[in-house]
Parts: sequence; structure tokens; C-alpha cells
Amino acid sequence: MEEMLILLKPDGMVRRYAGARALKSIVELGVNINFFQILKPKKEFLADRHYAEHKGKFFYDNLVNFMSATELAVIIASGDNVVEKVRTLLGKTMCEKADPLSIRGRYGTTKGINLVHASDSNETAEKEVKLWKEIINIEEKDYKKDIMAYIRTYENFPMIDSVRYREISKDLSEGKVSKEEAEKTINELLTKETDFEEETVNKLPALITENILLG
Amino acid sequence: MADERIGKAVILAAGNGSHLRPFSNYVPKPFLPYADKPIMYHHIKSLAEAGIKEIVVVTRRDEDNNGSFKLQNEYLKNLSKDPELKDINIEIAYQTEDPITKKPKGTADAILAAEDQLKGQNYIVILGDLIIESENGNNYLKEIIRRFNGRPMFSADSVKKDDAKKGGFVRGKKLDDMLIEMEEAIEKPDDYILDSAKSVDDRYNVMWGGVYILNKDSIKYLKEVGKGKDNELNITDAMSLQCKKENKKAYGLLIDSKIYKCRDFGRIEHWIDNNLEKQNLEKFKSSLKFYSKEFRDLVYKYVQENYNIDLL
Repeated sequence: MEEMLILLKPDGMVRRYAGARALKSIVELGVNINFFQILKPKKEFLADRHYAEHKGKFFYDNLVNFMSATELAVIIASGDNVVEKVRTLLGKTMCEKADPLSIRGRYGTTKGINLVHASDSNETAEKEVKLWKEIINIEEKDYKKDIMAYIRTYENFPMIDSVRYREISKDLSEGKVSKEEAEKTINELLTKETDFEEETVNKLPALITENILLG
Repeated sequence: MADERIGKAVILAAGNGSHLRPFSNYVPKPFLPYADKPIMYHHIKSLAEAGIKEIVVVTRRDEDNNGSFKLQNEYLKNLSKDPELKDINIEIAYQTEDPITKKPKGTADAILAAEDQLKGQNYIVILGDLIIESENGNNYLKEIIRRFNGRPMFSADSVKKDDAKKGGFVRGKKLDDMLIEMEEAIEKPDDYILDSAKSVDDRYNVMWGGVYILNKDSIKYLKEVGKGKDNELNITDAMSLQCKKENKKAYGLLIDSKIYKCRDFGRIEHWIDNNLEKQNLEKFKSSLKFYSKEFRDLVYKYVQENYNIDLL
């Protein structure tokens, strides 16, 4: 059966409610959860292995820095047509273009700040799963139980309306607010919907505004 | 002797409806269709049946939250023309939003938006996202109004431990089958607190149902209360504060599941589930015509994709 890699990105981790809702929708697709763990991969692993193909592209540095900002939820899911099912559920990579009913359409912030990474084809899925299996340790246990426990912990967390993040993103790209102002607001909003330490949350706003301004 | 008359009701309909995106981009939560009418209409009807003739609806300015309040505001201004509500006086109050979050500041702040209309009176508060239904002429609002003795009241339910952990747990003693005298309300209680409540049937009382009765002294506590859960100013905290300061109790009235059905509209799936029930389906389809095309299309698409039902 096909396997695929799903990662809850730093925005999906810090924004507890949005992340839990995204994972819940994935579980509700009826896919098998073969692995679930919260971990922080080495930056080199993300830079040189996971995102190797993007090396040299204009968004590469921002992407790697963003993805290494916090721990991630790492999931390996399997099932018939799992890649297609999950990608339809998530919606287009760029939040602005995603179906408003999809996960990214409902909870995504902007562009690449889109809560979740998911293998984008069967070929990539195979490659990514193989790669990540080098650094994870899959045990004989019921991972679905673990992911459900995570979802239950955070699905009723206080939330900030994703529309708010999108407004700031729009205002920033249209030059209506300065980068500093946008970062200050994003920081205030993130702080209201998370239990992450201040130190970790503080890393995100600059990376998010940088992503927005990448064009 | 406490004044036990309740002259007014306030319906809170000024939230962002964040949990109902993208539908709430077009319509505020209390204005979503339920069966043949907007949710809010069912509240107004139920209040009228319970003998309340003065209703204040707290809403937001037309331009707030993507302009989603516009339709609701227009509807409210024309509601007095509805022949079924001819004795009812409906007033509108506007709540303002926090400049950073672009969200209103919570339920306590929402009531204060209607301070001028409520001052000096006892009043019943209805949160827009729940409906307590009943058949055979029973009416929960009538029942809670009948029980009011001058002290604050709230609707409550008896739930399993897992659900109790998510809500406002009410510690106190039961005065009869339905009435709880509240000692303390604890938001999101942990196992230790619930275990020490020693429930025999694994049922725990929580604040639930979105109905409150506040007395004429409540305004000062609504103003005084600090930020609570979700960084908001909450009714429940204001009520606890009042009890503490006055050294008197508040009372919870359980929603008897044999008589009433509590419908929750807090999440998309609940809202749709309620409407797809056999007795509501046709009414729901025709009520959608009142809303914008974008909104309707989104509903059709959601129901098609998630329930495989074609509403067209």
C-alpha cells in the first residue's frame, strides 16, 4: 500500500487549534497512521536532504529557516490513493489559491506558510518516506492513538481567526503596513493562540514576513 | 424582597464565527440558516413565547468582518414588520472590535454594548450559537425565567468526564432534580478536581446551553471583570465575581434531556448535521434562497463533498 509523508509545519505547531483541526481531518479520511511523533530534525537534514531539490531557489533559505524554527509533527500515512486524498483535502500549496473549504483555505496564512507539508506525488512520497525512515524509529505501537491524543489536547485551544493573518499578509505585500508593524501584530496574534514558549514564538514573525515579501 | 421580574432579553450576535470559516465570511454565526429561518429568529420566537417582549440584539457594524454583518443588520431593522412578532420590540446595539485581533472582546463586553438598554433591570442573555428545542409546548427559557429568584442563573448540562474537562465545570450541590446551587465554576478542570467531585454515575455538571439570567446589579461586575479564558471578557467570570463579592450563590438549571434537545451550531459539521435531519431538509433548502449566491454555492459544494447529497 502507498505510504506518504505529512509534516505539521511550525505555523501548524504553534497555532495549536489549526494544526489539530488539520490532523483531525486527515485522520477522518480513514487513512492508516503508521507513524506519528513530535520531533525536531537537524537543520542540515532539512537543508541538505529533505529540501535538497530546492537548493539555490529564491525561497530556499527562508523555507529551511522556517522549517527548523520549531519541532514538527511527523506523520507517515498509508492507504489507497493516500497522496491524492490528502492533497485534495489540504488544497493548493499557495493558501491564496486553495479552495476555501480546504484545510489551507480555512486555516492557512499565506503562500508557503500553509500549516502542512504533504508529499506531492507517489514518486515524491516514496522518496520522502524512505528518507525520513533514516531518522525516525518506527515502533510496534498504535500511532493512531497517539495522534488522536494530540488532536484532543489541542482541538479546543483558543484560536485566532486565520483571516486576520491573511489581512496582515495582504497589507504587508501592498505596503500598507511596515515589516516591523506586521511582525509585531503577528507576534501578538500567535502568542494568543499558543502554549509555546515566548522564545520560540518570537522566531516566527520575521520568517513569516520574509516569506510574504519573497514575492 | 428581590425584584424577580425579567423585562428584557439580549441576544449576542457579534462574534467573528471563526470556527465557521469560510461560511462566516458571508454570514455571522447566529444568522446562519437553521431549518426555515436564521438561527436568531428561533431565539426571538422562543423568547416571545416565554413572555419577553423587549429584545436587544448585539451585532457589529456593517463593515466589520468582511461586511458579513450587513445582511443580519438589514434583517433586524425589518424584523418588526414580521406579523408573527408584532408585539415584540427589537433594538440593535453595536459591539466594537479589538484593533489587533479584529475580534470583539468577549461576551461580557458584548452585553455592555447594550448597557443603556439593560441598565437597572434583570435580563436574560442568549448566546447565538445554541438552540434549546422542545416539543409539546415546553420552553426552557420559560422554565428558567420561572425559577429566577433574583440571583444569577445559567443553563447547564450533565456530561461525561471527557466533555466536562473541556467546559466550565460547576461545583455545587443539587437542590432538586434540575437545580444546582453553584459554589464555584472551574474552566477546563483536571482529573483531580473532577475525581474529588465524587460523581456516582460519571456525570459532571457544566455550564452549557448558552442561556444566562443576570440581575440588575450585574453591569458593574461585567465592567470590573478581567480577562479570562481565551484572553476575553467572559460572562461566566463576571458572574463568579459577583457571587464572590456579594457572598451569595448563582444557580444552574439543568437542561432535561427527556424534554429538551440542545442543538449546537459551533462547528460547520454540527450546523449542517442539524439541517440535514429529515424534518429540516426541505425547509433548509428553501431558506438558503434568502442568502447570497456565493454563500449558497459554498453550502451546496460542502454538502456534496462531505455528505454526497445534492441540495440543488
